[in-house]
Amino acid sequence: MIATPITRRKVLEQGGWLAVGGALAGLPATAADAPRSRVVLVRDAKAVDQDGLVNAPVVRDMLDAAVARLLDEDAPLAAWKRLVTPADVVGVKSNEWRHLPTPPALEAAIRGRLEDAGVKPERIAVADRAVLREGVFAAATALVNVRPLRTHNWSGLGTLIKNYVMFVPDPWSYHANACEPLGAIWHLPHVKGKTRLNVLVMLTPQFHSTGPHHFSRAYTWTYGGLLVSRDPVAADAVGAAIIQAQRRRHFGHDRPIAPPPHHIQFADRTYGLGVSSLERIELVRLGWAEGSLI
Amino acid sequence: MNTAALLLFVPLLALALLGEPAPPRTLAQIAAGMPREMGPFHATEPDEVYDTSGIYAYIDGAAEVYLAYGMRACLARRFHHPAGGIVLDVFEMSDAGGAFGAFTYDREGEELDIGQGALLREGWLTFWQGRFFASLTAEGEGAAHREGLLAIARAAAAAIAEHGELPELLGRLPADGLQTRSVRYLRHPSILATHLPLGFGDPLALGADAEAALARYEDKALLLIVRYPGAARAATGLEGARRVISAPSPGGRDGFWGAAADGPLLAVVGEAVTEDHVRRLLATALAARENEEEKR
Repeated sequence: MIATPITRRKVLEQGGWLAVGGALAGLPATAADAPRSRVVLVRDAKAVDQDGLVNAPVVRDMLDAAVARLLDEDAPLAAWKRLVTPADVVGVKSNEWRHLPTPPALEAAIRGRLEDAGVKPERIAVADRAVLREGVFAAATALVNVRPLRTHNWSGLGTLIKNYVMFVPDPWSYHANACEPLGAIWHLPHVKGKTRLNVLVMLTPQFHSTGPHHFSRAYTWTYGGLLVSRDPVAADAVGAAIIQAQRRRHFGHDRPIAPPPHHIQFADRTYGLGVSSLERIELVRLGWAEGSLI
Repeated sequence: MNTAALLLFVPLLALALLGEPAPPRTLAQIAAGMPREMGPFHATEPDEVYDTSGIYAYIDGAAEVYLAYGMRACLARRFHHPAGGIVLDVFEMSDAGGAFGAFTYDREGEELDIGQGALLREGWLTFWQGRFFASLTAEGEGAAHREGLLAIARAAAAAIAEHGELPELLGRLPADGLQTRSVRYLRHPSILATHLPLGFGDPLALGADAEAALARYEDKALLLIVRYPGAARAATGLEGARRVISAPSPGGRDGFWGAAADGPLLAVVGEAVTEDHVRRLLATALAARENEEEKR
């Protein structure tokens, strides 16, 4: 029998993967002078009613406010015109998971603003599983990434980064090590550099999963928010921190997201897609402040 | 009992009377052996069967867990009810260890005497039996749905009619102080990371071909036993364990930690209150293998 020495360890840092992630081995270090990313958190207590129905006008206004603030424009349309031009072909990558899909009202709001910015309707498509079969996506010059945040049994969280897994014909090839390689998808020719906007839907996020269908209303809560950013990694990192905080609040103790959603950090440090460190994220808050958890 | 169920039950009864083990069941036989009406719950649609490719679309986000346990196919039957139905999913695994492992993925809930182990939480019942893991999800609440879950689960267990042996590796868990509800059986590094995150990647080099048992003891100490395909891999795993243990805090956890390897086996103990407990757990976990070889 070969044995290691027995060692006494004390917990040096409390918290989940976000708190200790920087100290964990296996990831390249982040440069101290790395750029910061802006994430806008917009919330409204009226975004979702007691029955879980989305208030379309409120959500549209939230989106407008967030996009304008993200780009420091007074008028939402001016911001959208900086994101897309009439020459663009735009694929809106949505998410149709039946238990918690991207709200159609939000898809409609995005489509409406793209059209307001001059993109012809026939040059816009909204899709999830069909993106590889959809003509507009094949010709897309621009992408908008929009999905709800939820816990996920294999990647820890279903994130903006993970939402692009449908851009490959073999999603299961990206499942190794809790979906560590997901960031590679963003470097494929039909995806790379095309994403103009990311919207992480936090209206009724799911913070815990059980069972094969791994959905229960008991593990969602009305947060009434959207996280909007040019940087998908930064938006995911903020979303993960909110989910972790909600788990702590719900369970009464620190119960880390499992498995750890470290594909967010790999997307930063291995694939260079954005910023995963909360210290390097400029979080701009708009609207409802109560219970923001961050 | 309907005609199809009777046709299946009679041969099984005959085999049992002859002392012969029941032959392996198929999902089609299990489906035929289950009533489609259970009190107020009615299965009005055809069953669906998903293979290892189709399962992704059916349970998006959870398929990998069952595939990691050797899922071959999944039978899905929806029982309708005016106040919300019940969905029965029966997963056929490659062996009984896979079915038991899938059952141990979530061990919360009230224990029930169904199959070879069952748990009931609010709106969700699971059990394992033979090579099969079953999950029943209620879309409504209240006494009728609880009774429905129990009745359908019992019917499914009766239709499965197989018995599976627990993985031999579990026999290496020292019995003294073992918290039996904490035992988990796994075969994939991502499943280990779900229950015991020790760092990025696959720090213990489990790969997809090692099996492991994870358990807690009365003083909260954890014991992980891994069986690799060979001694060389176990040595690699021990090196990984050494790195984990020598990190500032293994996976953000405290207490006394130690690891040892013997042949294809690796044992890791962590979060123990005393150094002596680490030694005892390591020695007992690995000594069990020597004892078994002596018995042979």
